[in-house]
Amino acid sequence: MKAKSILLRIEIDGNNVVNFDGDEQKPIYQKMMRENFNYSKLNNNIKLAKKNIYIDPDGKLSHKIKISSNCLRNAIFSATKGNNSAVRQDEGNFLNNIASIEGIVQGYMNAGKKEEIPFKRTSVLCVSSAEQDNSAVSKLEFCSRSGEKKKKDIDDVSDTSIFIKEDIGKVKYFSEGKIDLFELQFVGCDQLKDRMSFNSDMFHKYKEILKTRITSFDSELGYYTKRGELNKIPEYGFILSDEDINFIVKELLKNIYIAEIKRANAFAYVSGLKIKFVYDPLVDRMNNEEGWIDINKETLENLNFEVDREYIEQEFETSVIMKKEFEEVKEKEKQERMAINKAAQEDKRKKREIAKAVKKAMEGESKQEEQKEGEELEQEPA
Amino acid sequence: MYLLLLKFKDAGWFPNHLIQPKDFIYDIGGKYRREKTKNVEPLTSNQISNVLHVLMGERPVPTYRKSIFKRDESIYQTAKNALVKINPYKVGDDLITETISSKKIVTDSYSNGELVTWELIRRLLISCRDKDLTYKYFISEIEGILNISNIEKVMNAEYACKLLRRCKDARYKSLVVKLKDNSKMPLAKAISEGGKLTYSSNPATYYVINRGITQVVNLSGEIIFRLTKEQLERIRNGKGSCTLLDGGLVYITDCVREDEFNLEELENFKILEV
Repeated sequence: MKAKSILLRIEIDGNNVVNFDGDEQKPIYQKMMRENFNYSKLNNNIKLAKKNIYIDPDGKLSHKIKISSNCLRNAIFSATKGNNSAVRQDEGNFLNNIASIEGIVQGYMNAGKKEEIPFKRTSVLCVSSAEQDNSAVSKLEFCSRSGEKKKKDIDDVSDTSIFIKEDIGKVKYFSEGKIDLFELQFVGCDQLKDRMSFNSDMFHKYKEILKTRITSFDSELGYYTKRGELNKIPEYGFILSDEDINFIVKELLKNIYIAEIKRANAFAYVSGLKIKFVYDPLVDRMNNEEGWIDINKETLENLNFEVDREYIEQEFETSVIMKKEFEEVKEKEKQERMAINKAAQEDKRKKREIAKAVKKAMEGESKQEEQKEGEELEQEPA
Repeated sequence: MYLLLLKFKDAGWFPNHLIQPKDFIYDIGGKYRREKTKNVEPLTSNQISNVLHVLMGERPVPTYRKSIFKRDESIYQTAKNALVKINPYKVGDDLITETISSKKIVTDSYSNGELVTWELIRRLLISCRDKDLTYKYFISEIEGILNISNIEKVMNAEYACKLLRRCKDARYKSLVVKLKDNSKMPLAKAISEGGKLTYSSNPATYYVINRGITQVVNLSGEIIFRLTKEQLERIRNGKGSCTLLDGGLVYITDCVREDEFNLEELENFKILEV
């Protein structure tokens, strides 16, 4: 049987809050505190944890602490934490970044200067935020911080600030996710379908770099279409083999399994990871308890699966014909857009001319009136 | 007929992103200004139609941009009649938002600039049109202008630039002109007008990580599609899960025959607007 995607269940253990939110949560949290605990007005200087807020049918609010999906992804892909979009400026650096397991799995969006085409790849891993899964209750603690205050009142000379911070003890979280094997198997470098991952002219360098990380990688560029897709225009790119995909998935699962989030006085780490291969989407579902595999060192080493091939290679000649059709459609759309722009500019020009004519007429009228008044004044007897 | 039940979690919706007059759309029609068609509702039948397209192995079709792909009308009609329940995401009129950090491309973001250091100047002068304008030349010139030897050991670059800004002699002026002629405007400004070395297109000097913060509303809920047997077979050939809005996970929870399910018992489900 061939796998189409992999479902994930991630259990996380932690102590104290690892993921804080901004000030915008404060009014809602204050309402919750007043309703549930008859709490008085909160201090302005407060740090609240990220949470999912629920409203029951009676309108009462409740919450559960969470670790956001962005925070989880940062922990899983910790090797690429320092990346910034300026990496596009240097070609060698850019290729080094994207020709990697993290580049293929995590995805990226690198726009160059304004007129340049952005290079992008959608992430293959989708992970929901990890929500609190035990009965721990968070509380607000008074804390102090020493350091120069930015705003100083006349009466307030001290450089110690008091602030309130949300805190929780031992906490368990639960998250769900998926790895999309259909998207993982293909890397496109064609602007046609708006997912150009890199300049195809640099493929020889890309291949050299990726081969140092995935030794089995030996693909070449070609034209591919999606099986069963209505729009049969082929896309230029390359396909990863089953061996490459097995290696990438194992590395990704290893990264998830050893992911941890550390703060000065809080931590969270992955305590359990389960996966399920999806062969039939109507049977292998997230809420179906059958078919889950517990991931540990042994199961990860022995993991081996076949990938359901979604992309089919096309002949070069067919691709050229279909590409011509695309170019014709593109040209047609461009002409239509130019006609619309031209009509809009013509409309603007006409409006400007009308406004000028009206202004001129009004100026002419006022001049005539002034002349008349002048004549009347001259004619008046001394 | 069959009912396909799905659940979605953490679908990110950015309610505060306003369309600016400077916003453009780039698509196969070329480049043009974006029209003010911002959805007030977080989910419409266009997004639900894209979910069904992906589950059936088709490509999603952009809502606002023109694309070579046209949507499958049969899938779109099915999606238009889907029942969607979005869990409450407002308390009164206030949206339940989360603060997240977001990145911006370097060429489109304000940069605070970097502190001037000798190492930064050395990197900036690595490649110049004029082969004589090297770091060594620059150091020898400013040592001559300020009449200080071993300037790198005596003071930091920031202070040296401050001293240079007081100079008015011809040698100093010709150095500034030479820097400007070689497209080293940030450095020329640093020694003449003051200020930090702002972002330049020289890859040797950028390293600002451009991040900002923004608010996102995380939506969760359920979707029910009414499908024929043929459509169900297309779902079976698909991957069974997809994404919705920004990073939202959508997966199948159940598939039942329509007569086995009482739709009237459902609460808070509705058909979305187009």
